[in-house]
Amino acid sequence: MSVDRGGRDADVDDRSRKWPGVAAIALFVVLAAVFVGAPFGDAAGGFEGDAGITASIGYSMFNIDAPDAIPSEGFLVSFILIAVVLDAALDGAVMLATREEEDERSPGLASDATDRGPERVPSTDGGRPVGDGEEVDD
Amino acid sequence: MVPIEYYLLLSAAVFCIGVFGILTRRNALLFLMSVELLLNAANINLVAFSRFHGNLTGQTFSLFTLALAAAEVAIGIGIVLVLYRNFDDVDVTEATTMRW
Repeated sequence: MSVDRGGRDADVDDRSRKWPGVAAIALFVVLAAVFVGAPFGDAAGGFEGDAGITASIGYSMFNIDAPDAIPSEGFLVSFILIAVVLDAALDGAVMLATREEEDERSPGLASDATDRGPERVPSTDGGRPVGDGEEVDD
Repeated sequence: MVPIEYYLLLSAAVFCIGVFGILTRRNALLFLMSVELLLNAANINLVAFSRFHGNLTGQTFSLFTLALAAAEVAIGIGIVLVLYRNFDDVDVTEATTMRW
């Protein structure tokens, strides 16, 4: 988080901080009023079955029919789908983080070659500042 | 047993904090953290109602929500990286278009 010279939090725009705060508090008040006034009925009073909660989650995740498991639905198809989504996310993250050597801009979100603006010439002098007593050859 | 309303109020508070963060923050990483708060507010509800009804479906579903949140963060951090490379900043208001 950056702080400017005045000591303010430069990450937050002060002008737009008041109304989002009011909106968030108003949303909380509305949600709280609904939750406190809603009839939820009687609680079940704990879980049925003799197996532990963690073991029963494992049974439901892989569609295993255990006689003493806590009742739940099967999630095997969801498990496979989430595995595919995580794999795609890993590939996407690697693709976005890959940097090409000759182009400083990342290829991940560039639209095409004509949109890349003025060409940048990579520095070959190690990034030394110009004008510190040395004569610069062009 | 803690009444279900307490869990719901906690969830609403976390959700509203996340909404406030999304509306006010300009740093992309804090933006991602605010989205995580929204997702975790939903997880609190899932786990609370799972215990309330004596059924494990909500808890298992919350695990999948956590996995989806991890996938979202992986892509989000990649986008933040690209944002920093192209704009030399992680201010989300700098990137106003989908192309440059």
